[in-house]
Amino acid sequence: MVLESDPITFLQWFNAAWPSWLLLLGGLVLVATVGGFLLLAVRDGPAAAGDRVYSLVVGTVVDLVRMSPRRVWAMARLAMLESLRGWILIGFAIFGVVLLFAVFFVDSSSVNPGGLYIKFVYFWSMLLVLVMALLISAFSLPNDLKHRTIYTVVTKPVRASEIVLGRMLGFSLLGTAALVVMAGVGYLFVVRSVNHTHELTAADLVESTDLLSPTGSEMPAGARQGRTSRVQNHRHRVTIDADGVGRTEVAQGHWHEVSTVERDGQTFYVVGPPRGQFHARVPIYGQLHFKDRAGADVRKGLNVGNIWTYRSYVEGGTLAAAVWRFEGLRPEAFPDGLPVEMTLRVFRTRRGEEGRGILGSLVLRNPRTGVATAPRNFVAREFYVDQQVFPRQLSDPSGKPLDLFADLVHNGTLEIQLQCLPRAQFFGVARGDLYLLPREASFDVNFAKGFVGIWLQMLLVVAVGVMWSTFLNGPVALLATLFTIVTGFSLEFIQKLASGEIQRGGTFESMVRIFNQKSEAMDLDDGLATRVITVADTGIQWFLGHLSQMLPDLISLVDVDYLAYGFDIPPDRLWIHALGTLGYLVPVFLIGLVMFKTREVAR
Amino acid sequence: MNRRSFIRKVVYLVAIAALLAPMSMLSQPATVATSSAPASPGGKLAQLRDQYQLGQANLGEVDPTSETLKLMTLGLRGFVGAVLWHKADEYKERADWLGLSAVLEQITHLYPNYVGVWIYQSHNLSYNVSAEWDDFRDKYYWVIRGIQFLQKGGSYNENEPRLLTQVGFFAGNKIGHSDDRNLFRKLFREDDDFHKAQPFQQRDNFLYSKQYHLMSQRLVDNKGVSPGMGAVLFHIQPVMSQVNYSAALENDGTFGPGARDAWRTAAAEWRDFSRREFPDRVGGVIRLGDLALLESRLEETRQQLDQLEPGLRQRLIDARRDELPEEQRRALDTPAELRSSEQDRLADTAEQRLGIPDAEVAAQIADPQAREQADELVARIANFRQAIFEVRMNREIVNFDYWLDRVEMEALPETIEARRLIYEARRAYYEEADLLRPRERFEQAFALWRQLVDKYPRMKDDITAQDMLEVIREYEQILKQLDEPFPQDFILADLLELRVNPF
Repeated sequence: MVLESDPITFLQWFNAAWPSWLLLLGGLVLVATVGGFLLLAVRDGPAAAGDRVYSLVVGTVVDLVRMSPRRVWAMARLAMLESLRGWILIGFAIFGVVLLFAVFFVDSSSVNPGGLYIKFVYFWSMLLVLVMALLISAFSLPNDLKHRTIYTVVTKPVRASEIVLGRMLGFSLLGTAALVVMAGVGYLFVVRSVNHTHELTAADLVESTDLLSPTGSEMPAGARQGRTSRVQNHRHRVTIDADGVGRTEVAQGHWHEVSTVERDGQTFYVVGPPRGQFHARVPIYGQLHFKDRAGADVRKGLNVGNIWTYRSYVEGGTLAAAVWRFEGLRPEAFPDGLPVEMTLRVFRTRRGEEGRGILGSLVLRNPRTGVATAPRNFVAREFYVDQQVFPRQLSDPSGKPLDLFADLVHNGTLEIQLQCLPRAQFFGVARGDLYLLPREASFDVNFAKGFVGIWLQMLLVVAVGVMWSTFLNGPVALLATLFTIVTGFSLEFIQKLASGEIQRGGTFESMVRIFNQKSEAMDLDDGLATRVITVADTGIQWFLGHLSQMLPDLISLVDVDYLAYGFDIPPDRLWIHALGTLGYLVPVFLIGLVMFKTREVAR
Repeated sequence: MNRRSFIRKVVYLVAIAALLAPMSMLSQPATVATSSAPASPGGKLAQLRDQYQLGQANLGEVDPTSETLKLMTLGLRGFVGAVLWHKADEYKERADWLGLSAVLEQITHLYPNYVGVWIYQSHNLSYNVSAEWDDFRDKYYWVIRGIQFLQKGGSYNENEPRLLTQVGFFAGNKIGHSDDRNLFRKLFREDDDFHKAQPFQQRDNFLYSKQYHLMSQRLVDNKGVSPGMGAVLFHIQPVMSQVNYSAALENDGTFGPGARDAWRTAAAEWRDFSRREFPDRVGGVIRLGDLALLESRLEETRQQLDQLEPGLRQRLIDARRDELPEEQRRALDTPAELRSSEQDRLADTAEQRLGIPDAEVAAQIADPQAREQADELVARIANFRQAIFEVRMNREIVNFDYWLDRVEMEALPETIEARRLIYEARRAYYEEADLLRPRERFEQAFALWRQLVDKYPRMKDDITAQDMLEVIREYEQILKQLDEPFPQDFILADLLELRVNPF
């Protein structure tokens, strides 16, 4: 999986986040108070303005302090009952139809159909839940105001804060229920869709002529090879040993075990269910640095001309290497040896031998003593996850025995060095391309964790929708919430626009270029018009920069890649998501409350 | 207030009713005849759709998924398409094949009848994505995915020869001519899932390519649709597929009747191609095989012109010669091999001035009746010249003369024998590390090749000669290993002149 930035722990994030959050919240309160006072002062004079702002602030604080959970729950129940018969059922109906016809939309011959189905279910669940949240939250209060049913509520002894929070809570609970159902149905859909087996008969097998089995070990004597039947747009090559037991090669991201049964004096081959289709790897990532062709340490490897510079390349046939340094390794975490997984890119400057892959080697090294194992050679297969397990007992190049933890790990630290062996060929790697795999977590739990991100998105949308609806009418609140969602999903793009990272990305400059059909490669003509455009774009960039600080970061809550590519979502990431969302919900609730209190109906 | 509101609503209703009439005329659907009502051609849009064969059912397979997705975009198909296209590029750049395949699926559902989408993205799969993978089996998988992508596009666009042509091109070019061609051709033959019930013997990528080029050709010939490229280049493709198939057979070690028949078929198809009619640029029709005929007719017509007033052309030449400057006349009188470079230039200028145009000859004919006849002949001469120009130009485009000779030569038993000897020599050299047997085989092959290039001199200076140079280089390596000098009187010494870099 691509790791474009280093994963951070919850504590690292929290220590950096809380001061900014407090600052922003304080700034927001200050701006709202001073701004409100100034506006009212212009209209009603400073004394009246001071009086009203004071009442509002005090009233809000009192509302917050005296909020009753019982009344909030009553409001939440009311919100749920109001909305239950509307959009929720339509949402379920659409989800059902989408799953029924999914086979038409999903490319089942993909290299990883399991991942594709996960992405499909995730996308549709997210879309429908967010649209439901948008519709129920944006229209509820305005409808109550329009139909005057709000008066039956506000005439009861209930506080504005309880009305606003009750709405948010009620809609969120409805959304949660909908999401739980969608996640459950989606899980069954994904697992059932990719579940299959193949047929294999004796006629499909011939005596093996290969030297190596599909797993890379030496081919056992009497082994036979062949191909399974074609099911779900794929088939597997299979190797069976003399005892009739074997396994298939990996195709479409999974493999099968093969066994033999005797019935009526005949041998039948039984191909088991798909294995390795769904993972929840819990990797340990190391810090990556490189060695240049002379063996000197460097921060980055070579660039072979790719536009995407995520990976650096290691030159073959030289001292160049990629070195990962792992820390915090404990023997009890690796009782059966050290499983290393890697996914490499290969870059050739010459064809090499026809049909042969590029040879690489791995060496484990003690970072303090320099003691290293004998190189373990392997043939790189690009884009496939290759697992190499190093046993606890190893040997150095001279054959001297080494113990993994006693001789190679120093204070929990170990280095793994990767080299490309043939001259003029290259391996491309990034930090996340080689990791240790002490264990795998449950895929089922990970699937549920993946939906936590959607749940948090739904909470944000509900809160923002209710907030906008406290002072805007239904359609406008809907548009405002939609704007918040769209910008929240485009936050990265907006931040790039604001920082100028996107070249020629100015709003007016883009407009001019479109109308004049001028490509990005050409400069605009010098002159007053261009200067005006530049100044206007700088203003817009300033605005976007500040806007992006206030938008909910919805896109960072999308964790589907972890699920689709088979990695466990780190608990720290979930905590960061959760607290980050809470940090956004608090000011949104406060704004909603204040705005609602300014309305006549709530006084 | 209420009254104004009422009037406004009435105005809206009237406007809606008024707009319904033209809308109905425009968009009324066509209907078929029933027992109670006659058939109706429908509104203007339905008629235009029918006229230009733009109805979904006319274009190809109707895809409900596609229609659903188009509807779901709520009129934002262009925007969604642009976003997906951008995503596809991003996924390719980041080598995210899972994302790429998903996005391509969606794009094609959105634009099932945009042929450019199918062609661009299939090329992306077969050429760009496959090149990203290191293992030849993975590369092959993506090449085939590109071909299948095109075939799927073809099912939605049944009247579109470009998609069929591209399948033919990918199967021939990517599988048959890439660096991994030997492995690809083997995998292609063994690909039961792709070929399904097709017999193993017919699973040749070049034959497959030819089959698709022929399907495309039939579509163009029978339905009159545009091939989407120059006519000559379009119609040469099935013939070249046969040529490539024949060459590939020998490359794989198939000689004897199999290779001979394949080359004979290629020769016959080249002859057919030379008789195929192509439109020229002035509204006429040409055949590439008619060059000699056209040249002889031109010459014949010019003679007829000269016969109308015998000696006239010579008199005109003589008169113009008298007008030439002295140094040009002297240059002309000097034998070509004795001219200085300055005299060469002067003689060229003089010869150009002495070339009397046929129209000028016709204009100088004294007899008015003969002059009228001459004008007709001049017009015919101009037509012949134009046709010859067109034929020559198109023959050059497809390297006509070379291939005509080549297919004829390759079908000869001597050529097949020479190629067999070369194949055996190479196998013995590369696979058995033998030196003596390959040398003997090479020398036998060179002797046969001598006879062939003497008979077909065009083979001395084209790709065939370049291929033979590679063979000679291998022969020289063997001699070096045997510590023997390269023969001074080497039988194909004239071919060595083509070498850019000496061994």
